[in-house]
Amino acid sequence: MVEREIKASIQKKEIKNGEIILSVKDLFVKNDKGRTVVKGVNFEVKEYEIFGIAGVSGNGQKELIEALTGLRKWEKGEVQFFGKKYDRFSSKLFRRLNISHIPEERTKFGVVANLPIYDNSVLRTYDNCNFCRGLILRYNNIKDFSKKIIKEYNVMAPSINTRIKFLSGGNIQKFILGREISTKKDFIIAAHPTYGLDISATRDIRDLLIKMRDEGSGILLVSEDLDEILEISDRFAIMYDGEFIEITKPGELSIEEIGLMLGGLKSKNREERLS
Amino acid sequence: MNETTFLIFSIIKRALISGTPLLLGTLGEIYTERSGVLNLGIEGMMALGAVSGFGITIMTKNPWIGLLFAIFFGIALSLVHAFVSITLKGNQTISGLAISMLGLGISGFWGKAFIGIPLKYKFQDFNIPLLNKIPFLGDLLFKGDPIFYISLILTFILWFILYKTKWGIIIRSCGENPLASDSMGVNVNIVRYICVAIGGALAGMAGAYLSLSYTSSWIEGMTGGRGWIVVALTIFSLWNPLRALLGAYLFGGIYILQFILQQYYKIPPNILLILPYIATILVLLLSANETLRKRIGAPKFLGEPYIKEEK
Amino acid sequence: MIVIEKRKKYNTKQNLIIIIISIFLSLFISSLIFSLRGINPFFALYKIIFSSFGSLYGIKETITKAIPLMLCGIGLSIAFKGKFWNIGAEGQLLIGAVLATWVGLFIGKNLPSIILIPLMFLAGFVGGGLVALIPALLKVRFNTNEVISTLMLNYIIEQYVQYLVYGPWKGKTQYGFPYTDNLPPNALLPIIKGSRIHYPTLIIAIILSILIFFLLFRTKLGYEIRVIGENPLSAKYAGIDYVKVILIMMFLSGGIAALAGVGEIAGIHKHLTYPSQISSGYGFTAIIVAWLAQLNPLLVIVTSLFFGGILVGGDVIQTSFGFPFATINIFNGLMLVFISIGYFLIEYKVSFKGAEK
Repeated sequence: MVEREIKASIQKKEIKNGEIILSVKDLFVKNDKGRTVVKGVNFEVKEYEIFGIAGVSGNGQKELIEALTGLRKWEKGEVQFFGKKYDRFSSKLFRRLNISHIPEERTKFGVVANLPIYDNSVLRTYDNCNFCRGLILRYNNIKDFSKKIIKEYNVMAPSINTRIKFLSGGNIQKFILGREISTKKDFIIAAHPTYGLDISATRDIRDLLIKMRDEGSGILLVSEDLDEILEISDRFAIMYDGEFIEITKPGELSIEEIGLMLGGLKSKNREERLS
Repeated sequence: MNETTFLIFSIIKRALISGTPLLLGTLGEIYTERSGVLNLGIEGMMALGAVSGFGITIMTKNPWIGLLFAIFFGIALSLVHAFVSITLKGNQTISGLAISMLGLGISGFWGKAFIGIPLKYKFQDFNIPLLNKIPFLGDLLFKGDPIFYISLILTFILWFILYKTKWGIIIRSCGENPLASDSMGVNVNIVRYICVAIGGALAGMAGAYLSLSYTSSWIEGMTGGRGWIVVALTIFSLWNPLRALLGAYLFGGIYILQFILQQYYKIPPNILLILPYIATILVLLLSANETLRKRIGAPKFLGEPYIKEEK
Repeated sequence: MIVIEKRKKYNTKQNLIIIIISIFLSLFISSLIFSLRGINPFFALYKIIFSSFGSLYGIKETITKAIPLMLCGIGLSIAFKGKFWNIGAEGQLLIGAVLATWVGLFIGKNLPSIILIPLMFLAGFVGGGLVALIPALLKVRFNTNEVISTLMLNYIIEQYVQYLVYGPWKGKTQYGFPYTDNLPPNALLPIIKGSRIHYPTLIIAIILSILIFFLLFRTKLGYEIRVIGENPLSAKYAGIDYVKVILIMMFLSGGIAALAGVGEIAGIHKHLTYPSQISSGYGFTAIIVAWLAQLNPLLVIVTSLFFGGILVGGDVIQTSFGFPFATINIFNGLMLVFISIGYFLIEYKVSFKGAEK
């Protein structure tokens, strides 16, 4: 049973205005089969803000995130992180940026199943000066770091030597989150972070995202769970068939309208929508 | 018909004959890979087929019984690979290598007794009635080794099954989307076992052909790397039995090219001997290009054990 | 009813027992082969074990055969850790042999030992590394199956060596045999008296095993290799440069295997000869040496000694019982099968439960 109290609603602090971290203009991305699945998307994400992307899976979210994290090339468009324009980036370049990536498929590539926890803790940071000196890894620091993550983020594991495949889904996700957020705080890209998790882990993760937002991070959140988007985003986009139908704030549109737009209704006229 | 034309035609025929074991092996591996299993043990299964076919033929004085046993041994060895790859979800590359070693080892061990023994009980040439009366073409195409014709018939049958029947769809779906197949009630693992066994049977047949027909003798190492060449040809054929015909016979031509170059152009034997191996690498390169262009690739789940997730 | 469940944790002691049982089972079943020829399997096993480990001469021979196995095994463990199936160690070994001959016999024959021998090893290493880059490039650029490309190279290199020893490099002092001339004394490795153990190569092997262990488990490159091997998708997510890592990895793998070839020429054969005499299946047996050692370069020392013993045993069964050398392949194949079964039992628990009422 759930041991922790489930908070009824989250008290959100006033939205501070921060610098723009991510700016996306007219982005077009193709999928593996050659079809364009992201069709001219425009948006910005600032510091102190959670920007959500609501939508049913399969409308281009996966490819959009892959493009923004260096896992996929984009066809057209402009992407700026921290004011710097990029024509394309590799995941190698992306790794050097102060951006966390919490991937959609956590066990498929967010961690290496057969490696122990401490090896997994530096998956995207192993060439930080802290964790390596020249060509050699500093395992003392790495192991300390893993112990810290496990403690701070409440990851249930027998020891840091345990292979990560023996952990539950929720604990793996908390671990990934902890690993990413500890070292790359400025901007967080989280794709379906609470998918398949139990209530307690879900609550932990949502709280964590809000806490990071309050401390200044910009967060791009993709989720199929509309409740989640409405609960924690400051602004969100409704994505259908590769386009952002609307960018709005929670509370401005009714659930029916949102539902219709998620299903493809593209009209901007409020009366038209509700009739 | 003048002498040159005759020469050309008999060269073509020899290319077809050289390509036959490759064709048989490729057909088998196509089925295995289509169902999602990678079997690198073809060299061993072929070697085992060669030695068992030869040995049993000498014992029973009947090449057809020898052929049958070769098929049986090929299946038996392939089932070891199936067990390790499918049931034990083991590493398919290592398992395939294990099978190759086993097959080559058993072949060397058993075959020692047969070195230097000529084969007295051969396959009777098969004559297609009427057609073989055609002057000279008849001799060429319609009279010959029965296994050659069997391989042709098998090509068409296997192509038909794979593309035009329900079973073919089941096999292909096990390789492309085992999860979906499972949810439709297909026992993915059994299908894979059967396809691996088909691969074993055909590889065994290919080996028997080598020892009973192609050279009518047994020597150690007679498979000469053909098992590995088959793996390359399987990719080249884009997992389509009809295209396997093309690949196998073209490759058969390389063996004949060796012969011609040696007789007529006096090229040093070492260079000739490496022709098939260089050709195999070229085949791999060509295939990479083709699969990219045609967007046809290996079965999506090739080499991955099917694990039923418990949610 | 058989129930198979994934284990929730590893038990190191249990794992060790499983591995040991695998070894015994494959030994036992292989020895059953002997009964097919009317020979008592236990007697055969006894003879093999005694000849390899039961006498001083046997132990010396075992170590001699273990040296190339160690080097190839270490080289293979690097590649296999990255899940790059380098089946070309035979060819890489031969290239090492060729380069050792070239430097020792032709180019550097007037150099003093202290320079010549390290030069031979260096040349062999570079040659083996370069040759191994071919399948590596094919893989990263064209995604070609590395098992096939490395194997094909084996055949090609084998023919190249044949060409050399029958042709341009044929020795004038060898009475028409397909050998090169003997290497000059300054190109030969010192041997432990009363044995065939060319100890410099052995020392190199042991040092490399420690170095490579360190490389794989303590350096950035080793980390990248292991991640690529365990999960190439994670490697991409982690921003690891796949091309760079695979190329370096294969260069090292081929280079180290080639060192075995240098050792065989400068320490054992003293001239280049039939390729099969030199490589003797070491490259293939090394696959099992590495796999049994669970790709741990330190354990490779142990498993290579074990297989060195098996190979000595192979010689014995050839001479004593008249079995062809290919029989070793039966044992090797069975070993791989039983280790695979063992690995399965390490991951999964098999239990027998009664039928539900």
